[in-house]
Amino acid sequence: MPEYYGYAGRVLRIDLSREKYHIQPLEKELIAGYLGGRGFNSKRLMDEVPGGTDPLGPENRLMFATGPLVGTGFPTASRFNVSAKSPLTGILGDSNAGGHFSAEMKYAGYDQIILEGISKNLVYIFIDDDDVSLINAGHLSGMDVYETTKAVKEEIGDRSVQVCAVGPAAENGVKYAGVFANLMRAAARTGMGTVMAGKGVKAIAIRGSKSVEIAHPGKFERLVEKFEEDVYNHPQYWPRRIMGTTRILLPLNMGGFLPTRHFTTGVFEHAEEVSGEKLAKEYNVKTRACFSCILPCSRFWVIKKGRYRGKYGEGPEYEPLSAFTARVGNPDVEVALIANDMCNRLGLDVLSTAECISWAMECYERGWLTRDMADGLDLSWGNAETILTLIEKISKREGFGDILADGVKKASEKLGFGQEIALHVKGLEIIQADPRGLKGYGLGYAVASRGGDHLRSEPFFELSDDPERGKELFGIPETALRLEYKGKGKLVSFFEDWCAITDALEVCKNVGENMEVLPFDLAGEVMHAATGFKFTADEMRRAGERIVTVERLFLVREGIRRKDDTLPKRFLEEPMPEEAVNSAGSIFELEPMLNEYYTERDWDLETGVPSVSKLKTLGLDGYIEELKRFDVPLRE
Amino acid sequence: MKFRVKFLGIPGIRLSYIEVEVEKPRVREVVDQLCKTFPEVFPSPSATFQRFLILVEDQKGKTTNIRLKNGSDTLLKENESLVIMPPLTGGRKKS
Repeated sequence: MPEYYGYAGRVLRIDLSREKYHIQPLEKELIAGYLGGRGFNSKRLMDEVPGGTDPLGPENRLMFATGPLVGTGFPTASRFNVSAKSPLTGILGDSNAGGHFSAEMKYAGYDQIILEGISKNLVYIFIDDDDVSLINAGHLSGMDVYETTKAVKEEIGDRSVQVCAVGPAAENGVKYAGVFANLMRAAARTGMGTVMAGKGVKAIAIRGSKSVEIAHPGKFERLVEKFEEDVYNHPQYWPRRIMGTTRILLPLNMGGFLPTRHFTTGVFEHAEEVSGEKLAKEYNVKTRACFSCILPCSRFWVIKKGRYRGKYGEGPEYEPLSAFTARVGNPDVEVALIANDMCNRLGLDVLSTAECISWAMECYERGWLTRDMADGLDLSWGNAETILTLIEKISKREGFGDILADGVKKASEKLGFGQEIALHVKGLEIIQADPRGLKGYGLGYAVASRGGDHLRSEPFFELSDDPERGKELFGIPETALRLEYKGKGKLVSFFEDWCAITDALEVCKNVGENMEVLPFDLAGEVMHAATGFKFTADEMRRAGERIVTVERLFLVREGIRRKDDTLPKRFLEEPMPEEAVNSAGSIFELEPMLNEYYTERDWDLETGVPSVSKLKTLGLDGYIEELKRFDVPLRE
Repeated sequence: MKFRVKFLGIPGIRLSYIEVEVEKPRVREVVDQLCKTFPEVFPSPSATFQRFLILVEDQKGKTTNIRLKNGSDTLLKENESLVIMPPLTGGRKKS
């Protein structure tokens, strides 16, 4: 009888400085408290990366974690989290990607892989079941993600080996470089590729021959069937299958919260020309799914005529599509396809890249930034040549690109202007939805444990326009209305816990959470069927809350307080302009929302630090002494 | 009376809008017509109301979910249109 069901039951630690590795058993108490994936990484980062650690120093850990459902065939359970202290933000760094790498980790026998120290030379790591080799990668230096992946597979002589790699941007120390699996499955946010390259690792190749055992196969099969039925019959199934997340560009434009020309307005006059519908009709040629997914939402595109004729690639999702069109004021969808593909190949986070470029464009339009300061580039809105040139320059840290390569916060500090329009939270560039048109999402950006991002909460319920259901579920009708702020503290904390368990199980959030097919009770049932560990809906939610809270402890140990849980001034002081009809005049009411959120979480209203009683309830009181050492103010 | 119905991201419909003629300017009448025109996409009015977001759009582009009006009984004014799209997020049929 296997010791573990669902889990591989082992953790691989690789000490790059000493060129040694060892395999340790997975701790069962970690399962009970944190489930897997993001939960494992966040807990271990809190335990193993001391407060004040240099993100690019040997003490930082880079962790890859998979979840208990990955490799079992459970639909959409194909994701993995990559986490470390972030070189971009100085707080928790964490990103999540799909593809096939995660399942291969399980088949090689690992729930988590932890990289420690720094390699003397550039290497790639080949994990072949229990054999781990560090292989010189000097010859791969400077190669892009595609070239690296291809070269590693060729050297190993196995096309089916799974590879995640970093591009030249990471090697050049761009602070928002990502880790890319299956060529373009990007764990892009918060600079995890920068940490990987900083540790001297160009790629990780993995191959496994083990299997994943299921505790209760009959029950598991029934739950899989129910899940599949819910997905196939869902009204979002075909729109997502045909357009992926690009389907939301036009609705966001109609709602008046599509960030346009660096969030100066919420409607883009060229939205139709750059929409998901346009891509589906004129460019997409086929779809592709992640491991064990029944909703193949990734699309391949080909440009058949014009100046980019013959170019092809995969994606983009809504964020890069919208970021390289509306955000930078570019009406040419082909430029966005090329820009997204360049970022994937060079290994850059598209959102941070697009924010840096659109910020520079706004500074230029305002007359703060001149051509002389920007290598002679014309930074007018939508200038295609400038957009593509800047992506290249950022990845090489060349000229003006070097300034943007540290992120928008640092760039504005370095240049001494534009801080008030640098659109980030805690140093992480914010995503492509205007918080003035989506109050719950905006609160989510303000409090997210990795900075300005929606994937920590995704409180989609506020788009439902169903106040009766809002009252029924949350006791507050306004939770169902996107422009209202009341009740959003409660809403966001609920959805944060949900996202945390989805990330911990490593199920796709687009399906599990966004399509609401994996609620807490079903997640608990699936967990039991797969692993044998019993979890009620309440216990699942409690695990989600524990993950969110341990991440908050990581942040407060680094000095984060209430003052940092904020949004850029633009959203707090500039009402949405009149042309954004369906969001016109809206402004973000931060303070009452934060009060409500902290109250819901039992975090101190003045400091934003979790209360001692909350820590005790969640079994996190073991951290109290550690927090005291860092002068974190604690109240009962 | 004639009303414009706009489609956003609905698989199976390549048109961005159609004109629908109804006797009574009520959302239900318009949806009935849609079901007759596109039976494969909108098999029945009840399924359409359940599976899609239906918004009323005025001349200035201001939209309101019919759920926040009178639902399928919402009366349309002259120069108003309907917008139909799949739910952006959520939307699972509750068992």
